[in-house]
Amino acid sequence: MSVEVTIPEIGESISEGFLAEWSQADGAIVEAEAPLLVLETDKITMTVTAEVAGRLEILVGADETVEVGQVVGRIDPDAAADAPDAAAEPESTAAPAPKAAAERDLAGLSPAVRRLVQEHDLDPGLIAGTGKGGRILKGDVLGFLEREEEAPAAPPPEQESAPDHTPPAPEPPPAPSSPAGGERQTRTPMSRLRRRLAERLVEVQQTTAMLTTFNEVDMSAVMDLRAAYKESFAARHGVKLGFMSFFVKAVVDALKTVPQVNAFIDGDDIVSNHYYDIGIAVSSDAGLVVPVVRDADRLSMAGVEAAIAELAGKARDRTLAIDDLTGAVFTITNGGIFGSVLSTPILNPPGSAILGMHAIKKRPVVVDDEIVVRPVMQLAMSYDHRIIDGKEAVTFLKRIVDCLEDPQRLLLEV
Amino acid sequence: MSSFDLVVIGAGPGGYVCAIRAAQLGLKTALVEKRTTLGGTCLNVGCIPSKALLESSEVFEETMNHAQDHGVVVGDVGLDLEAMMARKERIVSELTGGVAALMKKNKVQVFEGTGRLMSNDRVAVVDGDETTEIEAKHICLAMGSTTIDLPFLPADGDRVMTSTEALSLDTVPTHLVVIGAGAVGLELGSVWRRLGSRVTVIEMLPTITPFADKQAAKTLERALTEQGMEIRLSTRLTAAKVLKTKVKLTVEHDKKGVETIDCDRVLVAVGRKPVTDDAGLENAGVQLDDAGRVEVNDRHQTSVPTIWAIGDLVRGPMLAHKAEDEGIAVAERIAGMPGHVNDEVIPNVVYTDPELAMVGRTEAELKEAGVPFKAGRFMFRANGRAKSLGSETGLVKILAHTTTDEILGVHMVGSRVSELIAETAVAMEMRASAEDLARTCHAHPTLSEAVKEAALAVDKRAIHS
Repeated sequence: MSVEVTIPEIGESISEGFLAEWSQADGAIVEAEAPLLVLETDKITMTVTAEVAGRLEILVGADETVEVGQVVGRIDPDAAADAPDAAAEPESTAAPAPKAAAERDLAGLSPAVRRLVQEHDLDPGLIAGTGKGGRILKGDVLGFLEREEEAPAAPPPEQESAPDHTPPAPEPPPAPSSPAGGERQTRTPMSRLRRRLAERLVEVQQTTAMLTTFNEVDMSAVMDLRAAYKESFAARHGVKLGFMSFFVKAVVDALKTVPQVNAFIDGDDIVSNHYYDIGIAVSSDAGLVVPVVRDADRLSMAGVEAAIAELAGKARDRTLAIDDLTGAVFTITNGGIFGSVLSTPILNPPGSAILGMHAIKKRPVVVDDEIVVRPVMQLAMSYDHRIIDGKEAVTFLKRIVDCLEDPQRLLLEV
Repeated sequence: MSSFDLVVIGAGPGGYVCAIRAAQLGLKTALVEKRTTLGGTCLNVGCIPSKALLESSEVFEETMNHAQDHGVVVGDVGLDLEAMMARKERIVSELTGGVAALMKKNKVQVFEGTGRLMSNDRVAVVDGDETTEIEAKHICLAMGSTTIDLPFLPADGDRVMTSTEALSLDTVPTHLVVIGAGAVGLELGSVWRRLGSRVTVIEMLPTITPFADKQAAKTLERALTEQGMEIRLSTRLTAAKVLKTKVKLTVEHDKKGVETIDCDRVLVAVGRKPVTDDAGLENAGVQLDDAGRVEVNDRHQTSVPTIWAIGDLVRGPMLAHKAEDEGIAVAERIAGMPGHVNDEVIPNVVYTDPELAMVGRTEAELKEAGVPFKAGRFMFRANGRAKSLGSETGLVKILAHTTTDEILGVHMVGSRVSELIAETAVAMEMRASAEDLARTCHAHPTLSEAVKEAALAVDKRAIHS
């Protein structure tokens, strides 16, 4: 009796995916738990494994869009018994595998890259090329393989102090990406992630009444605190004390102070959240992703930093699971790391508000009727005006400013 | 007053190429040149005439000494130096004439005379008593370089020569002393040694071709010494006395002490300096750097943004092909395009026999930069084609990054390696790995197989060694 290979549930809002490749050839004898196929969705790439050992029959080929629950193949477990030692000896499955790789489009790859891709059965589409016009270099594949090796053995979060998966820097460093042939215009298809991102951004603009409020925060107190405790914090907790934990904690405090912000419109209902999962926008090679720090209200500062470091590492290695990306009630995005001093963020639904951090600049500020130089960050909060009124939005943002200018408030909750 | 989008001053390989590219891109372009022929040092008194003489002198030496190795019996072999020089002149005039035709074809207006900046948008062309002023939105400085004199031994064009005179002698010197073991000294030294001169090369540094990889330089030095060139390294010229028919030179070796050398001709080939004095740079406010070159930014703009500078005038190696690439990039940038020069991948060739060719960095440079690398070497004596050519001297060496296997430098000594270096430059420009070269099929039997074998040797899997 054959066991069906179906597309598994991949998250609340995802109903379809893209069958990027079969890792096994049609008719191959597979082991239980062996990787069968690679499924791409808007935000993640996941591998579907075999439930049982047996002979694989492929029903839906690669490069097809598939729906959750769709049957894409069958495994005949009786065939496993017919093939003695199939499970015990992985070599026996290795034979058909190169066929799958050979069928892949290897045109345009340099000979060394071709060899590595075939030897390791890789999908060249997943490897970011740093050569001319985005060509994949041998070093890119070697770096990819190294990250692949490290990724499954990711250390537990409490040990993870800003994980450094940076591959050894190739010499000379990648040239700036001016078009190789000096063309004035080039055309490339959008990636799936970029396409989905584009759709969602337009959708948000069309379905919400989005508005942005601004404020500015004197960062001296947070910076002094960081300077004073940065070493003892790192020594005690094994993570660096960054700015993000202050902002996450301030946001949690503000959400508690102004609970209307922690709610969203669903049809004709208002749904109020009573938990504090905060999304952090992270720019990765694959594009913008928003992994979520769960129950930030129950985490210590060190807990927040560790959670962010772990998620950032996963984003870099593209090992984010769908659970890491869904359910944020509020989002923080930091344009400051690229140098922005002011920009208006777009909502990340179902959250009804998003906070934009920016670069800290020294600015003249009037304190006690004196002009002094202070490190100042502009804050921008976009919100859905259908559910959040101006008064609430401004109060919310002011609360964040107060908490950051006097972090002791976070401790005392005043 | 006529006015142009771009006025290029200097019609060497940097300047005339810049002018053609600019004209192709639709810019109204003028080219100012003080010589009566176009092509600059390279075509008139540099690369091209020296290559012509190198080829002729090699034919002479091959016929004299090596025809018999091939079983070819020749009678009396003689030298007609006048005919040899005439052939050289013909090649030069064909090529300079070709450049003039290219200017006409591309509608670049050529002005004869010295170009001098009057302001940031005005150039005076001075031809004897006559001065024409032209207006320019952009100006590209490409005046090139000239030979450096030794203070106590100024070139007189007779006994004491620069490369220019050494390309046009009417008799073969009895004893030629060359000061400086760079490309020019070794190439012209080779020409006259082949034609019968005793040649002594004096070099201050402990190595010839100091820019080259150590192993390559040593291999070339040994080959030239075997041919009879006397090379004195770590030796300094301390005094010179020019007499009517000879020159008395006093040289001092680091350890061996002082010695006097008598010779009938001296070639001073100690380097070149940018030509910056007669161009009116101060009128436009164009600044020089500490080394006396025209200062430019990454885009080759001088301190005046609409005045650009390229080639021997600016930082980087003084090579015709580097100037050409810069000229093209400048024209494209003026036309609003990105423009591209990769300073890391500029090949360099010395046209002795064997030739020396290199691209990228040397072992010493990589060690100093702390870049981890592997080296793969292959000797030409194990290459079938090299054997059949009767030139088994030399090697190909490929340096690749330890982790990424990216090719970082290639060094060659051997017959015709000036042509072999190109494939490795393409590979480096595409940022290929040594394995990429190793996995590319090379025709058999060719010298290029040595490149493939050296690439294999990076991974310790050369087949024929």
